[in-house]
Amino acid sequence: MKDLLEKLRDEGIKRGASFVEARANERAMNNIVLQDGRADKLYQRSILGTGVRVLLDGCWGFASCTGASLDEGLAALDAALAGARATRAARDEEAVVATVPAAVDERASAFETDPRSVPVARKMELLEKLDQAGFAKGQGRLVNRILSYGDSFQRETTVNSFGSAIVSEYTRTSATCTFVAQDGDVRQEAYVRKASQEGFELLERLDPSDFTEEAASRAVGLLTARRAPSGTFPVIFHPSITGLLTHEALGHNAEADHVVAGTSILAGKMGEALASELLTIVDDATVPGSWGSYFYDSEGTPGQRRIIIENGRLAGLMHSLETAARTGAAPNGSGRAQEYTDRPVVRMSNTFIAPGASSLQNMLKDIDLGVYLNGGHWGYVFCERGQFTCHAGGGWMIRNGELAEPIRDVSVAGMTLETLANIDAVGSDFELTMPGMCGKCGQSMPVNAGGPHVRVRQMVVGGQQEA
Amino acid sequence: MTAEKMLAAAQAACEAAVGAGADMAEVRAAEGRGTSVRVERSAVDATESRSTRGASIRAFSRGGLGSVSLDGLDVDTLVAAAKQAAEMARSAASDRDFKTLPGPSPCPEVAGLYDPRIENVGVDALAGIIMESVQAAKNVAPDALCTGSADAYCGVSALANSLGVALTARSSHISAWVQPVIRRGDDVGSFYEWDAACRMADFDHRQMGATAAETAVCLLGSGKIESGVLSIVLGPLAANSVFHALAASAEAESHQRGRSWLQGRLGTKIASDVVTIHDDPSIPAGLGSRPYDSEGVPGRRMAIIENGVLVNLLHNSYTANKAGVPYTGHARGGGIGPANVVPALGTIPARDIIAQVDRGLYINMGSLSPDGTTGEVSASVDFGFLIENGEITRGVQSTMIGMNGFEMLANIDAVSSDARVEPGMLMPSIRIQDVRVAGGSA
Repeated sequence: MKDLLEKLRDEGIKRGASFVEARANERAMNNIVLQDGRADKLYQRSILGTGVRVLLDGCWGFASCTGASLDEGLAALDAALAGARATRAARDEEAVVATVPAAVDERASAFETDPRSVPVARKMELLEKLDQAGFAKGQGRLVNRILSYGDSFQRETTVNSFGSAIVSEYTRTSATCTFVAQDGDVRQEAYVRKASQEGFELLERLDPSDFTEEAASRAVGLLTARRAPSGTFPVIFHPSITGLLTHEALGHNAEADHVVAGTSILAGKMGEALASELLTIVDDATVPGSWGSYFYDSEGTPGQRRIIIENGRLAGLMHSLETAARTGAAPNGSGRAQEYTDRPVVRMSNTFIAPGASSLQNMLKDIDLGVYLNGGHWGYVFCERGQFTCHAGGGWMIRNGELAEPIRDVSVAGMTLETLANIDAVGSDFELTMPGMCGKCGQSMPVNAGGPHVRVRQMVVGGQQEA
Repeated sequence: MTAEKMLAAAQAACEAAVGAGADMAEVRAAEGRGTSVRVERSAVDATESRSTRGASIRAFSRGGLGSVSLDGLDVDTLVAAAKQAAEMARSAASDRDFKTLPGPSPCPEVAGLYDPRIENVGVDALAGIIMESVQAAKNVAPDALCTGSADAYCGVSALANSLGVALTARSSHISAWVQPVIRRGDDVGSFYEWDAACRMADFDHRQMGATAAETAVCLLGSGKIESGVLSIVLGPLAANSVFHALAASAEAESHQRGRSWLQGRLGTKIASDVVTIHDDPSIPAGLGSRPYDSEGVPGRRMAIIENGVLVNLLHNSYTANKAGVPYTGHARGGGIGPANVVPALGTIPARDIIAQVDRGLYINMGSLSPDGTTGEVSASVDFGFLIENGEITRGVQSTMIGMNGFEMLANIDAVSSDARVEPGMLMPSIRIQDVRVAGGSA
């Protein structure tokens, strides 16, 4: 594969490109879906293709093709060069890339048991045991149970005109359960996901009490929870949703392509105090085994630990080769592409708030009436305005300094800068337990997120009834 | 590869799967080429060209499914993948609810889904389209920084199954979107507009940039409001997302599995009388139109909600056979989904619907749909305005709504008589009474 990509790179340079990046992606994925006790759906997906990106006379061109043949690769190179030429007149400033030292390396993520070597019957057997444990915990209230197991092997090969030639192999395994419980007209859902860069040992070591039994208990528990309150409240985030807040409220705005495009509220604020000194936020691509980690980004720059907010001040952004050159920063390995069909885009990896010193009890005690959120489900942000939304799996009311009745169906919203400034307590605990897929520019990338308990002095809670 | 060769390869793969022990098999194959031009800071930033070909194979054994998807279309590779799918199906647990894949049916052509002119839209033409949109936005707001893209795609596909389904289709698609961001000090206004079509004659990007910029300007100065119970008017884009979510909630699998908030409501009143929704896959040149679904079943215009009553569910062959009802032609990529969701129009123009509101919200775009399982709404007002004394006055921020889905549907008291029209899409405005609104103002 490397030989093919080097030929494409050399040909691109010969044809006048000032920068060439040739990339191939090979992926083999297996999934098993067990629904209501039956593992009756088995899926396999394989991907193989080549992408070529060129910088020609200050214009970008990118093209991709299925497979890994020289003829089709050269046709893709032609298309990339033609695309760059065709848009020269419509570009107002030349695209640039920062130079990074050439790296020649081959890396592979660690695992104990290669999932590809495990018979499907063994995978189904373990899933069935996990499902039965959850079913037993469901008190007869579970009306739908879906367990999904997935393993994937990915080899990304990147060659560029700096002389870099990188082969990165990743083995990822995941298990997800989604249980629906019902009582009369009330129907509630709970979701638990385990995913990391490891092998089949993830499934072998899964403890039902932390997976299917947990989902069953949560789903059944939510049936008697009350609807969420509507209004403005102090909000405490459990570590299982702090990652979502971090990812949506700040993370996307710290992707430097948004800053360069004028669509981030962090533009022009480097070094400014945006939050109290309690707050430090990190994006770290080097966390061992984490779902969002990687050795090199898709541009061939090593993955790194990046401090975004340090003691309340904006300390750094996530950069690709281009955004680094445009802003005078050093590239820090954030240019990631989902597949060979995609050009690299600035992305997060594992994003988290660093632990502080507060205990949950101390956070609670000052709150007369508030909301405690648990379990991040989904979120999104409009970066240009810094306006974000986070949906929780559930939570509790806080009354007179203590956790009171459970609540369900709750989202919160805020403005990034205001919310950062309103974080007034950071817990001493820590979890990095939100392995998921982040969407941007039509690409979906594995990321993780987490942090400790945090307290926000005031947020809007979109509930269905009065407090 | 020609459509005929692609179909022959798909049929060979079906035979191989059955030869390898599958009870039945289905192969979908597709090849396509797409081109994109992306704009950033109001200038062209990057171009992309994609050439793709691949196939998806489903084999069944005692109802158990083995599914293999792969890049590439050569016959040997497809045959090997089909055998693998058959082996996987035999390993899967059985599913007694699976009866059969569909057999062949006549599939009337739907006009306008392929336009050869889109094949010839090159990078330079796409750059022209998106830069015209950017200029239109800047004519409204010279300080707007625009992000956006223009995209074109053409493809050919083949579908075969072991019961004799053998179909081919060509498709084309062109689209563009632009998002002007206007920053004046700490104040930011932004909005997003788009246009899309299956044929060039239906594609009109000229107003897109100006409309987006005008709305972005209006959103400057957005502020917080007090919490309360208000009327809300959903503009065409926001209402469309609610109608689409309702249609999606009528997919039969989630009902049969007991995870849908509408489960058990078929034949009952779930919304006010003014709500009627059809799904119609046969609209010429419709963005969601198709001569047949992903299993080869032709579709037809079908009511989903009629005067507030849930009258039909959307089925693929699995759910239809399980329920013992006729196929509806809503299989979509292994799941179920609507084609073109068409709400019935009301009797009052949108401006009059707004004019009747003393104090409320106008929501231009956003997802305010009930959760597919719980039926509850807890959502942000992302692009919203305050209505005071019948007029839209100013943008709002840090505002959310919360409501039970059935209350929301029962409280829809008006659907507008006018609508935004896109190919296959009719997007009226709607009004919902007594919505709980959480504002960020104390």
